[in-house]
Amino acid sequence: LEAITLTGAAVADPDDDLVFRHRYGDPAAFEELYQRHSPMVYHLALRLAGDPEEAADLTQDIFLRVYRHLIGFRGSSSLKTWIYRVALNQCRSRLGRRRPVTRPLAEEGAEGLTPIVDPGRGPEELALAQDAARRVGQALAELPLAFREAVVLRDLDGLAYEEIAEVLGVRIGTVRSRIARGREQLRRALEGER
Amino acid sequence: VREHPDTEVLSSYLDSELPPTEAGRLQEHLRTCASCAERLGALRHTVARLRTLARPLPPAAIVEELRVRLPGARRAPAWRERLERLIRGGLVLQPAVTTGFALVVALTVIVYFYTHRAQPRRPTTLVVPPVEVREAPTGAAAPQPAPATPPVGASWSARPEAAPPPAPPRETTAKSADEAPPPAASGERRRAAEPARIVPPVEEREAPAGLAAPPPAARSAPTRDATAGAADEAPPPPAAAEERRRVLDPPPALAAARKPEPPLEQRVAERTFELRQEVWIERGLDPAAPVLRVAASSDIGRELLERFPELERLLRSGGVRLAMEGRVLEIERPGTGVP
Repeated sequence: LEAITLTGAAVADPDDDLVFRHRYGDPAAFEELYQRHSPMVYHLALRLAGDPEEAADLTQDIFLRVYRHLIGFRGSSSLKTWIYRVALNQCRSRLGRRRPVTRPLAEEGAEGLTPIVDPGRGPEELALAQDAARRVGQALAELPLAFREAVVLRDLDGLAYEEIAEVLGVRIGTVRSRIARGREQLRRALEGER
Repeated sequence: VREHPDTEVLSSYLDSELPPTEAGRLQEHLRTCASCAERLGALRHTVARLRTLARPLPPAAIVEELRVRLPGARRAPAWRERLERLIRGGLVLQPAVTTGFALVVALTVIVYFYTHRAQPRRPTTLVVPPVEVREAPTGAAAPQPAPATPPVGASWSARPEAAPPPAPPRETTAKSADEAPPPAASGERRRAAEPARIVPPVEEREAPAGLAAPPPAARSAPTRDATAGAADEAPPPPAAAEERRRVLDPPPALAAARKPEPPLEQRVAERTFELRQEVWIERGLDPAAPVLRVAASSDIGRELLERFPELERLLRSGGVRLAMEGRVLEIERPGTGVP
């Protein structure tokens, strides 16, 4: 075995630092971790649950779970991927017990969920954009969960195929197929509305 | 490509996830096939629309609720901040509150100092954690908050007005057994009892009580109590670094009392470690053997700490050099974060 020094890379990752500090009992570390990762967790929960209140509950449960298990996090994947996995499992187990999730976000395009539009547009254009966003949100909410997960992770969260495969625990081929089928279904749904 | 590509190919192409040769062939095809180019355009448009969806931020109420449900994560930063502010002389910022707080602390220190002086038979060991390190090397030595470790607690009880070492961590755990991790003390005891235990860690399992290292909540709660209590007898609050310093450098009076200083010793995972120049070195190591250094946060470091969580205690006050599978490894003392 050659002499190895593994110091450099590990310190460069702020997540590593947070996990480490958490392990050593720094109470501020978990809060930082929350600040860093809660937006993506909340957003995932929101898109999967389709309901802001439910998403808030889920986010809380997810972070409680993350807190309990963080000590056992071995760093075999990135912390982000690991948290996504915890989040996804939590969403599935909670949502699986309930009605199939097909409810669109009622407030899509409303306050707080304003779609990304040019602020220079007039009120009419803004209303149109909001309406368009509502339709996209609805179409997304109606996708089967497996497709929705893949599409959200890819198109809304920007994860790479490899990361998605890791989060979902499936092969890359499956990821590829779910994303494609999800997008195709969305395309048809949105086209049909025109 | 003679036949039209399926949606999967088009979709992967959009994400640049096609192998270069396949992507090249597709581009070739798209140049001559209007319908496929149109399909690709429609798919691209769908993706673009998806990306306009808003990404609302989580409501602030979640973090508030979490602070309540994770007792250890709550208030601690506030405590730290206040103490730091006090130390930095930031009294001006919050005159009323902070000055009051400072006065109370100062008065407590003065009053206790005098009552403490007035009683001659106060054993010095109570004042100096490092002594306990030497005398009870098995578990009490960790520079962790004293109340969490039973042996220290026992010696504390000799103090007349030292309220029983804080029960709160235990209470909070009992209240929400589901959320709160096991109290630090029980974890420590387990480890002391079965030092060489190897826990194959599984990330996704429910954390069984006592197996996972005590989460910071459990550990930090007593820290606060300890700092509060420490104001009684020692100069106020040993931030973690201060506490570490005390472990490393025993007070001069005591150092003088003991003649040649034997190195500090700790027994961990059925091995004995001596602290030499900020490294806990396993006794009996071949000094000539090459040392493989790893960061605690590296994969190997983590692996070791998973297998022997007790090593974390040592790491708080130095690196750890030990024999592992015929090699000499040194886990470097973390330079980041908390001690």
